[in-house]
Amino acid sequence: MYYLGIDVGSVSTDLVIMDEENKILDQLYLKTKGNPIEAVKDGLRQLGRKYQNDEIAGVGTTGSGRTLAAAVAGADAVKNEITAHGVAAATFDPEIRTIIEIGGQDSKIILLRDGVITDFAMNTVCAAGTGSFLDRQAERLGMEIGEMGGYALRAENPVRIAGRCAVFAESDIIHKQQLGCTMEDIIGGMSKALVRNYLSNVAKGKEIIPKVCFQGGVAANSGIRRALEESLGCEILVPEYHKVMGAYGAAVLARELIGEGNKKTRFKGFEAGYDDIRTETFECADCSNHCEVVILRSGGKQIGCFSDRCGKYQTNTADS
Amino acid sequence: MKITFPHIGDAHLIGRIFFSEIGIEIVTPGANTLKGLETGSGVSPDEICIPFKLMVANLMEAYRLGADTVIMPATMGPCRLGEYGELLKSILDSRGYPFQWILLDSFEAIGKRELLRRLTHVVSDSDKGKAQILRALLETYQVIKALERLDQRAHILAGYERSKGDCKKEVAACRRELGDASGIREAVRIIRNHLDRLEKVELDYDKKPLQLLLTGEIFSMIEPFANHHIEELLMDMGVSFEKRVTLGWWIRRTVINPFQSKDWFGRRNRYLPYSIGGYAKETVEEGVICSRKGYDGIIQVFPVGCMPEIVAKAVFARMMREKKLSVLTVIYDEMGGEAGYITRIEAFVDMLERRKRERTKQEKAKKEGKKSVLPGY
Repeated sequence: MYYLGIDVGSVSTDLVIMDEENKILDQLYLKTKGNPIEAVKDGLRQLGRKYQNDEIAGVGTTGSGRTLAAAVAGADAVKNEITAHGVAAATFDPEIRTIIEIGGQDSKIILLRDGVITDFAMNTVCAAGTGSFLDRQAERLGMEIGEMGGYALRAENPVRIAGRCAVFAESDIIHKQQLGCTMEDIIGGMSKALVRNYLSNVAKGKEIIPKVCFQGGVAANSGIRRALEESLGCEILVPEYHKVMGAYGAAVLARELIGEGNKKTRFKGFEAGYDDIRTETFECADCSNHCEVVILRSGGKQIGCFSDRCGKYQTNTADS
Repeated sequence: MKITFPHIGDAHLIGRIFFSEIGIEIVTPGANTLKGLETGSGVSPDEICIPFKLMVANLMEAYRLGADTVIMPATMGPCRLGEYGELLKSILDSRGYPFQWILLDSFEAIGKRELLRRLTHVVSDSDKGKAQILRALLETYQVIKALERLDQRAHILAGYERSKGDCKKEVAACRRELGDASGIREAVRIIRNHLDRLEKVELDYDKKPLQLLLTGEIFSMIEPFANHHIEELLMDMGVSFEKRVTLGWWIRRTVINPFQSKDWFGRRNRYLPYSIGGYAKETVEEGVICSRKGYDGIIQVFPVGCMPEIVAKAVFARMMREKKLSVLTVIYDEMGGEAGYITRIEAFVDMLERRKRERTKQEKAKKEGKKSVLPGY
């Protein structure tokens, strides 16, 4: 039997198929492109070509779009990304004590002691130092995001870039370009700035003890990884499946949940990828809360409903 | 004279009952909404905290509804809130909302006689005698206490309820009915009725829910809009929690027992022995209580820019190291999206739950002489 994990993030939607021994058999890394429902459906369609419905024993979802994904695919475990990343790393290597996770729009630090999350922090309102910022700079400098790491590694004299704020960082980068600095040095400096920003903002006051695990989409960037290693003075482990660790964690959580209670999965089947799902948004005027209610419908049937505080539009009682 | 005052939790619910008892009509602005916050931000200084922006919006709306007099419990000085009355007045005056203002400060600040004069001014329209008004005031305090008790019980029982949402529904139903209550007596009856029904909610005593302490800046604690309805969120998550900072708490501290003589010894703390403004000292004391009474964790809530609570946060960081406390600080901002807050609170609850489960498992394993090897716990 297999377990399916879905992580719907701001930039990417990842799906993982895992077996009973917590081994990843298949992984998908899709761009969310602002349409999480389509991304989840696309993922289900792709996996449906390889796997049968009755092979899936449980489904877990995580990420900022976790409730949406749960409504589309039918999920057993719906968990936040901090728990999912923590569990994924602890399952991957029980000796990991610090997790650095940098995703599309948020960055986190999670501290594990004996495999249990003991503390965490997430970036506040600013997105400086996250994947979206790198994406934007890559686009502006006219290169693929995948090439950036290589440039940073080739830097001989990384310039100093102000990394506190994405807007100031960008103008500083432009300024350094106008001075004639090489692309390598600029990108190297930018990597350092992002790491500095991360360590003084998100990881402020947290005790970073090896083994340190670096995951999330940005972990693919070898320049950032090296800058982290230099600042922390220890080796940084990047798991093979670093991009899909959230989805992996969700799958592990689903396995735990199903295994604990010997439950039957709520999975709707890979056909859900072909459902015609429509969303309806309206402002409820029945009380002073004025909730912006979102209702998901598939073939005339309501499959999910969000943001109603009083719960009166909820029809299915799927609990998380 | 048509009286109004800004929203803070149930103040309007209770204020309406009190003033109708003594024959005065009050104007209730609509509940706080995002739209109101936008209006408020538009006329307020940018760096000022959310409570101020919400209050400005409330008063502007009340003016349009016909109010002409504002009662503002300013309690001179504990934080910027002490100056709020004055600042609100000058902003609203310049924007063309000429209210008459009755600022209720504590008697240390303005003197007994002045306070009495202002209080008499508030009730000058009432046709009831002094004794009757005083009695209504005392009875209203009983209503506040009863409602507080209902909330308190609901927060604790929410962790044990068998069918999710029972406690939350009871509290919501009570508030709805209170909105139509005709007088104090009926209000007390309604609250008692719901308290009875709350005690009859089916419970599962085998559950071992987390015990959390919710604390932080006073406005955010009392006004649900300012904390994104964190109480409902926690109740939905099946957590048992306690919130001691309430309207009644404030009344007890400032009106009834301003020197806190009774619990002087119980509340001393070596982390922050002096009042530094706001309720930072009190928040730290909550932390001390938390570590003493064995709560699983603290959630501290405050709006962006609240200086006293930032100091309390720094003290919490030290207490986390020394006392092994778990503290989550949630800072609410008008710019922040809701998803981020929910993720943080959920992750915090998850973390504590997993740790608790692991601890009981280890204790069990110790008894049986085995070591737990499950990864991820």
